[in-house]
Formats: sequence, structure tokens, C-alpha cells
Amino acid sequence: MACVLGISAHYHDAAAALVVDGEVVAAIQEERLSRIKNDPGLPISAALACLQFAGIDPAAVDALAFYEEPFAKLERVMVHLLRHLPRTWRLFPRALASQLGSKIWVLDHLSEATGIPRARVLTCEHHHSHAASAFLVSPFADAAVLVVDGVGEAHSTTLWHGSGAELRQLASVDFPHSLGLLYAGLTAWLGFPVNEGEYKVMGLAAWGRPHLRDEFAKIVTLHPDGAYELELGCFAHMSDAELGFGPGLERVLGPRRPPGKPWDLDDPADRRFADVAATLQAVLEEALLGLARRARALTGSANLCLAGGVALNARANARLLREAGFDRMFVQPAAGDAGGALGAALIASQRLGDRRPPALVSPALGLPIDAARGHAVATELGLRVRRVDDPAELTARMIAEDRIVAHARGRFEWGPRALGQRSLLARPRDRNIRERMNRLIKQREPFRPFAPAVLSERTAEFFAAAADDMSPFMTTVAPVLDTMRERLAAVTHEDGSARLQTVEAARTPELHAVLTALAAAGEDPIALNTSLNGAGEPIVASSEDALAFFLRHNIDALILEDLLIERPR
Amino acid sequence: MADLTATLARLLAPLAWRSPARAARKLHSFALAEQGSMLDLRLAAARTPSPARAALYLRHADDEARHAQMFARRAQRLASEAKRPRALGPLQADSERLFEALGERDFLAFVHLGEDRARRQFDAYVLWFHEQGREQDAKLFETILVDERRHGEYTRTLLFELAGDEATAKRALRKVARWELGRRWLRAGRFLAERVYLIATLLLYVLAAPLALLVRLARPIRRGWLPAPRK
Repeated sequence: MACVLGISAHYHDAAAALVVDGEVVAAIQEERLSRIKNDPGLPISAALACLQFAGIDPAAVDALAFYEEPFAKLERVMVHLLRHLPRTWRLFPRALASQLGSKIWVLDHLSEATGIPRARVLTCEHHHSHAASAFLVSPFADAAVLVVDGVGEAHSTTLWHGSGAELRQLASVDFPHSLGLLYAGLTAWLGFPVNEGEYKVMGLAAWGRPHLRDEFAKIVTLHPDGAYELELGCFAHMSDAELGFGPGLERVLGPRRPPGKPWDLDDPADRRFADVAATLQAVLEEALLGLARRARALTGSANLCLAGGVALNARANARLLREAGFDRMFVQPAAGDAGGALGAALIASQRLGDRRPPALVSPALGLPIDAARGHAVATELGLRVRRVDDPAELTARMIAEDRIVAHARGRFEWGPRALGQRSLLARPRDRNIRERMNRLIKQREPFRPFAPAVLSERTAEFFAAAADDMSPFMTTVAPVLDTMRERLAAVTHEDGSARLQTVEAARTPELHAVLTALAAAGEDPIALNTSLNGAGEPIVASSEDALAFFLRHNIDALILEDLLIERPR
Repeated sequence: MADLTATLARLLAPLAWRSPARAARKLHSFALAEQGSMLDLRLAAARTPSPARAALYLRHADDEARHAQMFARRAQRLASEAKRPRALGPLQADSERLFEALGERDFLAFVHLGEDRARRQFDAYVLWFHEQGREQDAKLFETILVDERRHGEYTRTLLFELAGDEATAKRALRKVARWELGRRWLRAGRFLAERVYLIATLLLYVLAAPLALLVRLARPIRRGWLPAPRK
């Protein structure tokens, strides 16, 4: 019986997760509390918030598990700095300062900041943490586990076999060959910020044609055994942390797209950039299929768990489930580096003799809303605020009236997706709602889709798919039925797919109640569900964040637990 | 100190705003400062025990977010007019978590001093822009100045309320001014140390050159599948 805090930090998406007696009690990304998007700093606020939520004193924590091994990482960084000398001369001072200035002392810093004795601070391997974060909370007793990200200590891809509570590593592909860094390099070439713009590339891919295979054959080679190899001259991740791609990439694909330039997909130049995104997506999917087939051959398992930043590519996940030969597949909602905190906590919990946790049911592992405080602050702000008996029914009514509703109820979600606890909800029928949402709030590129949330049991009425192990966490896509595309115009992507979330009462009760109320009112049991945040901001966490959002954006109403805050119509 | 801010702003204005590229960078830095201030105020709103003060901080944060956007938009426009257009970085600021570091009273003193300084600096810029006939830039700062004056006034009132008496409030202002001076001193030291560090690490880099050959021989890049290490 142990109390374990897991921590991921110092790259991007720092997070903390608390596991008590083998049960995941809380998991929070630091960005939700610091309000800095993708905050990479030590997640001390998140760690203390997890403990406070559970009513646990830091002195009672049996272990603090960090999600990677700092000295193994230092070794890899040093080896690559020296191997690529003299090209690394610009990176050398920065990398050395970052490693020696803070990263190798991270365990001491964590101990000092949390008050947990240093002797109780331990480390796990980066990819082991990822693998544990997926497999140990999956519904499977046995599974192949595939971890694909930029890079951990040395590995960029690993294959594991999970059985019971055990995880055994089978094989790896090592840095600098990396599918995560392939995607990151192309993300930078397309003019998007790395570690933030990857979703945009995925959205853009649906607008292009994947016909640039010959060019991509010069960038990445996929081997018949599932391994892959990057043409390193096209990339700069070995020698330049900022650029991400090398001159070779511009020789193959042409000059990069200038960052910040507005998109116009009627312009042939931007069409070609979309074609590059589409080809990248196709190549990534094929690479992942090769890896997954290899994993299937090595493990013989019928189930697949996927983790690492690349596992957030919902389109690729859907294709893997269709074509890789597995019966079932699971991707937990924080599959990126934040998930490492959860994995590290679970590994340490196992080492201390705890049982394997039950399968992850709800993504709501964050902090709840303080409605009393929200009421007091909203009143001081002079907002129209009133208590309502049935917030779900009222939310449904407003959605049916084509109003955009900010919905903040329950504990906030774990991971980068808003899954109903901190969401903007709207009617999915009218394409104009997308433009309105973009104009008022999101300021997104025109090619980025909005996602639907649908009552789980009625999924098949609208989509050519049923609910599966990924759909409750919005980590997959499904085709919208041809007959439903007009009815779901605001959430159907250019290629006819939608990144759907299937909603069950046991997992997301508040959103389930809203969709049930919509159905009862004769509407489709579907809502457009997008994250409750402004452009460039993390998703809302507290009542104050929600009120700040309401002040800044011209939305119709805010539901804060049982409070309705409305703008005069 | 206050007059020094205005004087420096007046003196340096021709340099700071001399080309669209420079002006874009300057405005972008203002946008980042406003964004950082917005983060600190939102955190303050979440931390203060008083709902009334939380509301005031949220309103102030909302203004800062708007200012950040106004500065960023103008910076973007000027950057595109530059001879060699360069992308400005993303509008992503850091928070100093000043509320936690200073406590609410000193945080208010800090915000008040910052608003006061910004007001004097912006006043000087407005004058200069009018003199140069750059009405669009003058208008931008004039619009923001309306809020800056209001922020200066409410933070002063709130500080005096929270301090309980004038003497304590003034003590807090002096303490924070000293703290800011110390912070500037440390920043200057860091600036210098960074340069020394850069030279030292580049020397180290050159000295490490023979190791590069060794690494290439002993630790070549590995391709394809690698077996799992035995445990």
C-alpha cells in the first residue's frame, strides 16, 4: 500500500500524477495551473495540488518517481554534441547550460520543492514511463505496447510486451532516427511552432493529396521489418534545437512556408503545402503500421497500446486499428510527455508492491470548480449570475438555440483534449458556427476541424464506426455517414471524418446529461465540443480562469457547475 | 526615478522607433510584457482571499490581454513592412509568480509602480510620435494610456486599503522599488555572466574536438531495430 507521486518535466507539458494504493487519484498538467501553454517547468503547483486534493501530506508520500533518467539523457546529449561537431557549436553552450544548470539536478530540486525526502525520489526510463502510462491503465491483461515520440534518453521508438502488471522491452529504434522528430521537422518547415503545431499539420493533411511519395522517399526510408531511417541531411535536430529541419529538406521540398503567414487554401502554393502535410500523414501512418505489425508478430497479442507524442495523431490511430491486425487498441488521453508522469507513478507503485490499477474510466483527474468562489467573484464583476436547478437541461436548451456555451463542470480533464469538463459546446449542424467560433474565440487556421461529442449508444446512427477503447478519450477519428454530413456540417472535416468523442454516463456524467437532454428535446444527441480556452492559452482550470475567459470572449453563456452566467441578448 | 524613465524614453525614442523592424521588435516586447502581466494578474485573482480584489485583478488582466493583442497586431504589421521581414516570436510570456513571491500587499505595490512607470514612458512616446507625425502609433499608445492611468489609480487605492495606513503603503512601495533595483542588478550580472559563459563553453568546445573523432568511432549512429538491453 503506497502513495506515489509521478513527475514529468523539463521538455514540454510538465505534469504530476498521484497514485495511491494502486489507484490513480489525480493527474494534472502544470500548464492548467501556471496558465503557460505547454509549461515545461518543474510542476510543483501540479504536484502540490494533487496532494492537496487527496488530503495527503508530502511527508506521507512513499516515492516520487521522475519520468526519465537525467544522467542517461545527459550522456546522449553529450555524445551527439560531440559526434556532430563542428555543426553543434551554436547548440553546445545552450545544451550544456540546460543540462548542467538544471536538468541533472532535477531530483534534488523536486525533493526540495515538495518536501519529499531525497531518498524517496527515484527515476524510471522515459519510454518505460510512456509504456506504463498506456498499458497499466488499459483494459487489457495482455497487449503489445508501442511507444513513438521525439526522443527519450536514447530511444525514439520502443516495442514492449505487457502482460499482467509486467512490461518487457523487446526492441527499439534510437535517436537521431525518430518519427516524432520527422513530424516536428515538417511541422517547422510548414511554418508552425514545434510541439504545438502538430495538430495543425494533422488538420491540414485532410486538405491535400498525398502524391509527393518520391520526395518523401528521399526524406525517410521505411524498411520491410518495420524499422525506419531518416535522411539526416534533411533534419537538424542533432545540431540545432530550434530549427528542426536541415537544408536537405528545402532541397527536396522547396523553401519553407514563412511562419505566421495567413493561410489561403485556394492559393496553389498553400495547396502544395497541404499536399506535403497529406503525404507526411500518409507516410507516418505507413511507418506506424510497419511498427505495429512488427509488434503483433513479436508479441502475438490481439491488443495494442500506443503511447508517446505521436500517439496523439488520431487519424493514424484509426488506421492502425483498422489495418494493423489487432482486435482492440488503447491510447490514454495524455499520451504525450505529460503521460510520463502517470507512467512513472504506476511503475513506482508496482515496485512498492501495489496491485495494477483498474482500467482508466474517466479522464476527469484534475481539480474541481469552486462554485461558491465563482459566484462571489462573478457577482463582484457585475455579471448576471444565477443558480439553476438543472444545468444540463439548460445547457442543452441553449445549444439547441444555436448559442455557444462555455461548460465548466466537475474535475478538469487529463491531457490536451477538452472532454466535456472544460468545453465550449455548440450545435454541430450549421457550418457558420465554425466561423463564429473561430472569429470570436479560437482564431484558428480555417482548415482546423472541430470535434463532435456523441452519446455512446447512438454513435452508429451518425458515424461509420462504433464506440471503442479510444473514442471516449478523443484519440481516434471515424468517418461521418454520408447521409449525416450536412446534419453535422460544423464537425465534419474536409475528408469526411470527425475526431469523435463517445460519451458514457460512467466516464463523463456532466456531458452525458447534456447530450441526453438534447436528445430528449428532439435534437441529435451530439454537440460540437472544443476546448474552453482562448487562442494560445491552456484550457481553463478554475472558476477564475472561466470568468477571465468569459470576460475576454463574446460567448453567450457560461455554466459554472450550477451557476449560469449570461450575457444580455 | 520617475523622471528618469520619461527622460530616457524621450532620449531613446528616435533609436527605438527608427525603423519598422526595430519598432516591431519593441512593440512585440511590450506585447510580451503585457501578456506576462496578464498571467500574474490572473494568478493573483486565483490566489487572493477577497472576491472583490479577484474581480479587480480579472478586469485588469483582461485589459492587459487586450493591450498585448493591440501591440502584437501593430508589431506584426510593422514587421511585414520591414525591408527584410522577420517573423516575430509567438506571443507567449512567462510568469514570475509575483503574487506568491511577494505577498499581496507588495504585489500590489509592484503592479502600481509598473503601471506608473509605463504611463510615464508611454506619455513620452505619444509626444514623440505626434512630433514625428506618426499618428497611428500615437493613437495606439493613447488608447492604452487610458487604461494605464486607471490601473495606476486603482492599484494605489487598493494598496493603501490593504496596508491599513499611508506610512505602511509607502514603506511597501519603497521596499518593492529596492527589490526591483536588486532584480535589475542581478539581471545585469546574468547578462555579463552569460557572455563569459559563452566564451568559456566555446573554448571547451574547441578543446573537445579530439573527442569528436573518438565518439564517432566508439559510438556510431545506430540504425534499424536494436535489441532490448539485458537486465
